[in-house]
Amino acid sequence: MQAANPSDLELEREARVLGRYLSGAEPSAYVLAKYAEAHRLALPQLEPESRFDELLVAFARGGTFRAYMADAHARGFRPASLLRRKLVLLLAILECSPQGGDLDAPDPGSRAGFALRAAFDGARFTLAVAAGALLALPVHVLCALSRPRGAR
Amino acid sequence: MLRVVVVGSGASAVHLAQSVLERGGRVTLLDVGREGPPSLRPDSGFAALKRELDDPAAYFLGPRFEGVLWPGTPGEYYGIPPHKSYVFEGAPRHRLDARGFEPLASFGQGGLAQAWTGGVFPFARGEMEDFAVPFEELLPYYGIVARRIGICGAADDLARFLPLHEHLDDPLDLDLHSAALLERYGERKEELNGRLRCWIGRSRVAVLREDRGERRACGYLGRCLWGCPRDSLYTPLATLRRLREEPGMTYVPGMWVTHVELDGAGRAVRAVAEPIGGGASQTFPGDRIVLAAGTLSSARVFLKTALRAGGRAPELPGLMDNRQVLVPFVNRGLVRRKWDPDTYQYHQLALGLQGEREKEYVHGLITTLKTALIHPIVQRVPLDLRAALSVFRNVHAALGIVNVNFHDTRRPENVLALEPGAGGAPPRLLVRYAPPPDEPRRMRLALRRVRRALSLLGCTVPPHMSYVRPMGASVYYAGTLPMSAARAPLTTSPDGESHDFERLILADGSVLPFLPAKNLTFTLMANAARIAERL
Repeated sequence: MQAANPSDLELEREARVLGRYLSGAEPSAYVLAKYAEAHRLALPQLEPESRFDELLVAFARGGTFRAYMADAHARGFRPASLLRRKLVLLLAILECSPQGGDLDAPDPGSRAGFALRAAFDGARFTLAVAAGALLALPVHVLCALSRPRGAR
Repeated sequence: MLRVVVVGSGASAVHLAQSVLERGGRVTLLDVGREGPPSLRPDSGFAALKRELDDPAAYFLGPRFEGVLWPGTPGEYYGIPPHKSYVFEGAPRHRLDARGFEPLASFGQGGLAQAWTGGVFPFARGEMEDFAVPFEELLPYYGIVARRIGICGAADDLARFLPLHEHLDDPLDLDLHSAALLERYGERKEELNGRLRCWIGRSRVAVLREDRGERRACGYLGRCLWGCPRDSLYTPLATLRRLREEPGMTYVPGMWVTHVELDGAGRAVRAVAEPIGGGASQTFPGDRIVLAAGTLSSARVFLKTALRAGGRAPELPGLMDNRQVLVPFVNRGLVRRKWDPDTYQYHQLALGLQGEREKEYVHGLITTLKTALIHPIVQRVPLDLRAALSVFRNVHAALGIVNVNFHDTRRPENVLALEPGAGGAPPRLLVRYAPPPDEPRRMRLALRRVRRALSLLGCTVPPHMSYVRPMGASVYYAGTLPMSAARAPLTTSPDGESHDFERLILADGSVLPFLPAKNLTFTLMANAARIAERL
């Protein structure tokens, strides 16, 4: 499915939001440049496969909370969607960047604290997936209805 | 003076060539011979490389991000780094039709072992009971190869499965996780050995502890997967480079060997090759023509030779490969520890499961996660990516994977055959493979023992994350022209000479009559050196 190519400004905004969502920090100029470079290459992995794919990415661009909700939905229902591919690409670039080591150091605190945080993250993820499923359902329906007959 | 033409430049080819040259012979080595990129920054570790390179993402991910493992890519936990992609790049003339098998081949200088993890495990006596060569005859050649390439290991509990040979250097320094596993093994040994018949010890690896010639000692840079920049980890290219300086050696890259020509008496007299870039065929005469291009490529040349000689190409039965299963685990005692990037990246421990018979041995490489690209792993955690990343960085030091290998046997339904090309097209190699009927049961029982062993070591195996690699993924292909003391069609003598075509020698995995669960590369090198002395 061919979509309108995002502008450089949209890509930068997208990378900043998704980067903050992933790492909690503003991506460096190097990371932003590599992210844009990947999109300029017109990689097939960065093409949307459906209208819903495009809408999910557009929703995620709106801020880190929306990125989180969109990612949770994608992980639950569309793990190979365009949003997930963009996030994984950005993660791959982040980990190769000079600041990549920061992504992979254990958090401060105790093991018990880690276990509680992981349990909280798991519960929050489950709720987000459930909530996202309800909210996304009408969007799925509209996308399906608006799809031309015979289109994928 | 013996003139030998060798086809291929992989592990078997270069060690046969070296032995011929050492005995005063002359070698013409024909190779497609794609070259890889040069090494860079031989003193920089994994983390330092990210800071020092102008474009580190291009190095680790490739100029077209081909090193990214995208969501939806099934199964594997790691991809081939862009710098190693030349090893697996196909060739237009290498046409295949494979069923039940996902074959890989290499047309790069040094062959498939340019992308190996350095494991060197000699076959045991019982594993060689089908061989036409006694174990005692092959054993000294393991020592010869060890002297040539440098092998680290220990005379430890795994010696019951891995015979000791000469020139075994002291093992590398252990990383934190491997050291913890080995210590725990010492504490639980009685149960592991007694109840599970599982032994654990130091992996044997072809790595230097000290500088040797142009190859430097392991610097614990954590860059093994991307290609050791110091040549500490042995690859056949190191031998090829050295041999090219020998006066008796002629290296001819850019050549696609099509077949071997025979004289009126049916003896192999010259190899015929087409230049990769186009042009007329060329012939390379020799007293012996050696096929050491890997089981698939050697089969293609052999079958074309047979087709031209007899008007029809036979089927070669008995193709073998090792089934591999990747079993990830988490060492609970190492959760939230900081991981050390300054280590040898590949496996430092191995486990062995004793079978009812020596041939039923199951071999496991234990690789603890140190330096790695994390995005392939993080995306598989069943959480949103931010939480998955948080979990991952707190368990990184605790992660590991056991690559469990199973033996294979020759079976008539697993064949290589040649389909002539129509209208001048290159012939197509047909590959047909079906696993043995008892494979699911064998795998289930062995994997149960592996999981229990890991549990005794304080490790948890996450459910549903083990991955059964497709047949062909291990690239340990063997068995299509097996050695045989009795003269029979489509076999070779104990010294590698084809029983169909005199003076045609097979010196790679084609000649193995049985495939133990171990990586066969060390045995291929040793056998090639042995064959060279009997040409």
